[in-house]
Amino acid sequence: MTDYRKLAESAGLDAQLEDRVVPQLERLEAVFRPLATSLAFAAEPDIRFVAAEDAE
Amino acid sequence: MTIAQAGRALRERRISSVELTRYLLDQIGRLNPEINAFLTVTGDLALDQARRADAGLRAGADCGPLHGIPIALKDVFCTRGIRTTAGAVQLSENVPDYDAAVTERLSAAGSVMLGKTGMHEFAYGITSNNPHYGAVRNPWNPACIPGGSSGGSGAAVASGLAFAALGTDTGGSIRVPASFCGTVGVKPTFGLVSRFGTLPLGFTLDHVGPLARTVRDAALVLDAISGYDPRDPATRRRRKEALCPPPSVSLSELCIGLPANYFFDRARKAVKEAVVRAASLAESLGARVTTVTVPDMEGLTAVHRLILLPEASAVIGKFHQRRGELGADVRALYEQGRLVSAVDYIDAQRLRTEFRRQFARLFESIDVLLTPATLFSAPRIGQDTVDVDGVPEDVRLMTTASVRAINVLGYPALSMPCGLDPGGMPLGLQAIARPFDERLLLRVAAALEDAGISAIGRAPLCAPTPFSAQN
Repeated sequence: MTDYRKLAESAGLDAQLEDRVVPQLERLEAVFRPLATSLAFAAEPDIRFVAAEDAE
Repeated sequence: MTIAQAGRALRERRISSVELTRYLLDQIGRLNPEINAFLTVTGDLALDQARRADAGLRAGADCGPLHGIPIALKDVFCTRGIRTTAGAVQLSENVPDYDAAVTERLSAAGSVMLGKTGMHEFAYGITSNNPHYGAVRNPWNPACIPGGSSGGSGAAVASGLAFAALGTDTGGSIRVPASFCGTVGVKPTFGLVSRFGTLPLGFTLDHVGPLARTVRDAALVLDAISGYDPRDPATRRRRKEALCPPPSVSLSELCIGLPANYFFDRARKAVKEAVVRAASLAESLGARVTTVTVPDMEGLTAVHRLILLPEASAVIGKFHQRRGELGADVRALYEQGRLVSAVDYIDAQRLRTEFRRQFARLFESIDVLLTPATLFSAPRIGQDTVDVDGVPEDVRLMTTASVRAINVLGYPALSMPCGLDPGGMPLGLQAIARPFDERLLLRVAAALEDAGISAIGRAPLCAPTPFSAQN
């Protein structure tokens, strides 16, 4: 898992800001990491970011 | 009064656009000090546009359904010569020298711009409790938030200060204020409406759409602003089709999905009941209603956040030296985005493709999915947490739990009123359809509206109807 506390310290965040930032990222990572790990080796993003249909 | 009713009155010379505009400007003067829906009122411009609209009609130059209709714009759309702040103090002196694509299109459609509506700072939040320009208040209860980030647009429409307003939706910012303020709000398919000249938040998640009092009003505005624009590479070259549903619509041969998982897990009882009632109504109108299992919404919501955090930090990063002036909530999000790795961002984009496949499969068996738009009615201003099964949860994350993930897919979705909670605050129904199937989405919504699902009355802080509404 990512050490967000360390990253926040390196970024120079003060303790109060760190406490607002780090727990949110940690909770997010707990959901996201297993999904990211499950990605197929060759899975590609759709760099057009459009929704399914091509131009007519 | 609807846009169509006002349009008929204008064409039959029962009222002029100038009279309509002057009336609304007076009402804005009366109600805006309490609601704070408008950040900038463009009275002189509006009256000038209204005079031209009246002259056009007299000369037989009719620009269509929005001709002479007063509309408001969220303060995120560039307006030539008029301050455009995105609710940010860093942009308090920003006066663009060009119009956004949607500003141009509304102008070409003959509409009248009343002003720019208030919003959450940088469109990055759902309260519209702006630390620099003041809190926007909910016309149903001024102690409550109107939702956000297009809170001023929702409040302006709900309080009868504009026939419609434009908003942007990056993770629910049209549908949340629509739900909390008891209006219709449409987030169209990604690529249907040009974002050119719209101050960005998340490049791959931002959508532009209307908020209005009725489904057909929203459809008329969406019709006017949609279409290909070479200045926005995401817009599609599609044949333009009229989106406004006919006066009488049927739901026969349609299949409506009702989710078995996720959406109702943490919804308030009144919300669950209202959405189920809407599905039953759809069934009584001829639709087949089926229960469906939706893909991992928790995961899709996480993907949204992993995409938006760094995209928004890239945008706001332009003002990195002034980050100390950000409100506490936006500052925390800005710093979060700077700590997300590039690898995680790219993996989120890869997962986005996978989720799109899963939703495409789901929509092979249904035409429209009905869900709550928000899991509860509008929280109070300053409320940071909301109680969910006895656990205090972050109000921002809970408010967007039903809507945020849809932006990752780019699917069209709307929120429409579907009842009031025991405290008398509006509840929103979300309907979601396949990409570029706005016609069907609006048809389903119009059928439900015609059947009375949205008959919630008027907000207590609402301007009286300008003149006797006659069909």
